[in-house]
Amino acid sequence: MSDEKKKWSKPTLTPHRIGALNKFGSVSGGQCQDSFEGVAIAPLLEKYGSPLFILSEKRLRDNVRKLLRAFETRYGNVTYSWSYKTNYLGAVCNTLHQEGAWAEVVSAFEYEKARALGVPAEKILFNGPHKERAILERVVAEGGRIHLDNLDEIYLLEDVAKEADKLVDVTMRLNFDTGYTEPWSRFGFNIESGQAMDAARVLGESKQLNLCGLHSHLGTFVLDPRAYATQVRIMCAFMEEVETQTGCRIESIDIGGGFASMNSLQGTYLPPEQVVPSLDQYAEAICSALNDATRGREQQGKSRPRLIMESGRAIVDDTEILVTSVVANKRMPDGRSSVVIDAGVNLLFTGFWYNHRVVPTRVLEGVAEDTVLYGPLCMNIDVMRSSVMLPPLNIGDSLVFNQVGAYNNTQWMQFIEYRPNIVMIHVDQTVSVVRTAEDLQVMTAQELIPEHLLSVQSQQAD
Amino acid sequence: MMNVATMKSAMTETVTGLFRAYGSILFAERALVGALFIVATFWFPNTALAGLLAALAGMVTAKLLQFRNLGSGLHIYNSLLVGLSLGAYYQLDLYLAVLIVLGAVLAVFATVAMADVLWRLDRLPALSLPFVMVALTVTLAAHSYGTLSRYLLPMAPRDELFSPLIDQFFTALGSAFFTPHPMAGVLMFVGLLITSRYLSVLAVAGFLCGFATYSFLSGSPHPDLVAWNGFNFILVAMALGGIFTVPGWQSFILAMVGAVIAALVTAASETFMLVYGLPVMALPFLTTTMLILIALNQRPASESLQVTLESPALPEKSADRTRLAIVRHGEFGSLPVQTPFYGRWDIYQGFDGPHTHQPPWQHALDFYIIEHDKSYRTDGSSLSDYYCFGLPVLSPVAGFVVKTLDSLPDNAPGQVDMENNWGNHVLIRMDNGLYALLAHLKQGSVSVDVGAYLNPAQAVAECGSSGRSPQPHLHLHVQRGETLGSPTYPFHLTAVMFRASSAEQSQFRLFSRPDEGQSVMVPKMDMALVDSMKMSVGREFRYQVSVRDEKPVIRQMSVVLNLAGELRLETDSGASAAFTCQDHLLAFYDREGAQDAFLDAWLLALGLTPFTEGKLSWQDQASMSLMPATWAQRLVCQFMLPLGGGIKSNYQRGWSEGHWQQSGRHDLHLPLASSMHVSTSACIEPRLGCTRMSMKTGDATLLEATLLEIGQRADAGIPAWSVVTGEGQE
Repeated sequence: MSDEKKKWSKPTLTPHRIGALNKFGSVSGGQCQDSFEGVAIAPLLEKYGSPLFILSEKRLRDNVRKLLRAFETRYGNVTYSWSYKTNYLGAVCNTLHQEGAWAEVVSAFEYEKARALGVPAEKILFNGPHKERAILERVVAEGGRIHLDNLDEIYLLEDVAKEADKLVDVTMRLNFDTGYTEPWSRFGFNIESGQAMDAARVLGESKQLNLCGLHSHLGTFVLDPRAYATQVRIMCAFMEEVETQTGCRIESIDIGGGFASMNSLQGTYLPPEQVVPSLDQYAEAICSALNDATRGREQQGKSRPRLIMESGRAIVDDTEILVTSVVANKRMPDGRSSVVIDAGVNLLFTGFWYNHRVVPTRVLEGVAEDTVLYGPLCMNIDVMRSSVMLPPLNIGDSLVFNQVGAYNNTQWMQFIEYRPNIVMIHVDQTVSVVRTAEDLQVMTAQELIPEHLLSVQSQQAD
Repeated sequence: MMNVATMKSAMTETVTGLFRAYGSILFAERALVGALFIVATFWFPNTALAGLLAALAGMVTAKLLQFRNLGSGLHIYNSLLVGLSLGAYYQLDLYLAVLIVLGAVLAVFATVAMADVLWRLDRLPALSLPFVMVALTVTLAAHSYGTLSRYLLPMAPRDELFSPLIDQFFTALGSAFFTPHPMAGVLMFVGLLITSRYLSVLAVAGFLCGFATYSFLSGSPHPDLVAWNGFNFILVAMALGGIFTVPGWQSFILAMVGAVIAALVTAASETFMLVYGLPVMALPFLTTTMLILIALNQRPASESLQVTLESPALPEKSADRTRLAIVRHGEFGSLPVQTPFYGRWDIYQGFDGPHTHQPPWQHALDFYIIEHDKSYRTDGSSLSDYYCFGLPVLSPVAGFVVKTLDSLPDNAPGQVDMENNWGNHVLIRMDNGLYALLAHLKQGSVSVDVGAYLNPAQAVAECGSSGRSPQPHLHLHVQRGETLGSPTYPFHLTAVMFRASSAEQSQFRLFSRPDEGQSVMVPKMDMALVDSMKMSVGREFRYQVSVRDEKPVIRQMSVVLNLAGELRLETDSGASAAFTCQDHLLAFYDREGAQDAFLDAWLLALGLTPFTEGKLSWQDQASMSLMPATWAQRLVCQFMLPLGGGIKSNYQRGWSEGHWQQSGRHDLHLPLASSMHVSTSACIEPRLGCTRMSMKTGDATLLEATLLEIGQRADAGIPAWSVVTGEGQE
């Protein structure tokens, strides 16, 4: 018998509830994650503060290689383009560019950022519904690839191209119904209504614009690969038709993104391991449809189109975690346990739609109970998780939110808190800061205070 | 009316034609060397004048008949020899002059006729066969003409110059021009040295071999016989070992064997020809060389001893061509094929693999895909867990499908089907008569029918695990017969990104025969780069070039297409290099013409430029003559490496700040001498091409060039254009 004292653990109240049982059980305890990609989390937290975003360079590279392998072994002309809006940290973008990724940008800022990072204009796809004259002039001058969204844009670009005295290669964004997903009809030209063909004819007549690519984007977190197969078939059929009708030559087919990551979308019944297809399954569906649909092209003396993918979430989601610390414990009036943590929806915007896997960084003693995780914001909606089974937590304990790489470092908001450090674990397991924590100076850097408002004292005589 | 310029050019053509005709007797290409030979023949003015007369008569004939390419001198060297031979036996007077002119005219017809017939017969060169036929005819006829007066040359050994043996060599060399005197021979030898050091060595060695045999068998031959006929040994050795084969130890032995046989044939010819009072002349040389060449033509393709009848050249040149061909395309006889898949695959078993790639199936590659050292995901218990299972398999070659099978089931992982070793397969017959086999394909996946014509990279099936295949993989080999499992034939993958291990960077390779554990990938082309390095016919580039500290000068380069269908990049100095610009790369070869430091540096910087996307590295070995060097260094190089050598060049290219930066490190290692190093860097801008280029050694800049203007030469109905680039505008 050991003389050691039995460890104390917090008492818990476990109310008996009828009907709370289900066939999946209720236990999610017992798991903990004290390191990420072989680097211990605790020292990082100590050095860089809490909360903390941690990125893995190795995972990023592995993911993009996996994606490229899946597609490149199935189709002869594949290009991957990194969707900047998913995560445009310079370190993330350049890791992917080093692996051969192009850039897919949707705003003047993103275009400028990509150029500043050193991406050649020919490898930038400029997408999105909002492109103003000034940025279009720059893109046309530099030779970037423009994806057209609407007729007004066609007329504007035609004017810009005329002024620059250039023939500009353009891609048309299309929307249509595959029968698998809700059509995103607000973007691009609709095929079914004939709008797309009308626009293609306008482009065919244009002396300044040369239609050479087709683009469409089904949506996000698309769980059925067959949706993509249908998308590719519809796009290839449109390609043949538009080539016959306008005499243009389509060189690329851009299928957008939307591949699901191993995350759980709220409202999805099954766990991600069971519903999320592998990249190989997406690739098989897409490439066999594309190979079939373009089989005859080489005999007609036309090359097979370049397949462009803009997958964002599937590449970056599982490469980043958010580590956060418990600030306070609270018992709710209905008896549920709740904790306040130092990261809220200001940092984890996707917490609204996804149930990110949450695990403590040490093995927690005690019985897991239904817990609410509240963020630090002074807002009622700042709920990081409305229900998760966790054993009692102490102040200072830390929790890891997994799969936070997609959209959070771009959609996060600056509301009452400073945004924290983001560090990256490199392939050799060294760690460097890739975005430093904000401070007062950063927050007020853009502010200009009129002279009479410089002081808190009233300047006017009463 | 003919203007002055055309007359001048016609004059130049006649004179160079004349000089070249003299030169070509000893395989020299330079007109100046030919001029030296003319001077040498004047040791016996009677012979020399007779030769000149014949050459001029031949030239006029060729001109009147409007044969093309008169400047090459190839139509008249036989006429010239006829003249020389008559001049050696008869006094030059009006009667002889008439005979010479008649012989010369006949020789032109004989040359043109025989050259064509022999080429069609077996790609044979006419050499001096027309001369021997015409000369024999004319000499026989001369016997019955009483008007001709005999002329006896003072025989060589009476003028002791060096030692008797050396004198005999030079005399023999001189007698190739019917000038059997050691002094003339010395001049000839100097010309030969200027033309090719290797040919000079062959001449000496061939003479020694032939002479040794000749003297060994005949006791002590009459010195006059050796002096008159010894050039046959020399010419056989030079032709067989230097001109019509790629130099090397095998061809050297062949040359010496040829010289020995020539001694035998010479002795034999003398025996019966002297009876009729006929000189032996070049008959032993022709008999020996032609017979051996005809015989060599019957050999199948082989790695050893390459015959160059298609494009005979000086040994230095053909050695350099061969060296570059081996560096770029790998070994002789290996068949280039494309990768039979998309993307990156790993090698499961290479050539001479330990498992199943044993003779006669040693030339084979097995491919599969691994990720982090595993070929499957999850636990690998089902076929679909394997990364390569079900992936598209493409035709590696062009050809007809001759056999297919896709009814066999795929084995469960770990199981093999010993009954049907090859499993499901597609067998493709290529135009060259060889067959390519793709094996272990997935059941029911073969999508082509027997008889279908396949283009390279056309999808034919899916990767499976049928036959003797413990896990899904793709087997590829090239075989000799149509029977499944015929003996295999060596092949290699061409234009691939090769990676020795996952830790290393990929390298672009034109020749790749990867081994177990290595991987290959189909390179992705950078269309923007292809567009930027466009070298279409008539394209012109103007550069501002500064060499060391000299004042910058404007230099021009242009792309020309010659009659042989070769694209060449030519500078304003007349120097040029041939190039090929294909789907996946731009490659230069065959640098010719005057010295031109600018072109040489340009070729070093961009001589082999793959159009592959992304950061990459590759190697090349361009000719050592491209290395910037002083006269002294060049002499050392030529002395140390008489047959030429390659510069070891390592290239790297990446994209930075709006342009591709292509840098090269070039090392030339000379045996027993210090090696030379230079580095080049070229900046390739989108849509413009190479806009800046520099060459450095250590910290010293040797040459810098900046693009000023790109233009296009006018063509009928198409006006010229030019664009001033950024640097030029400033």
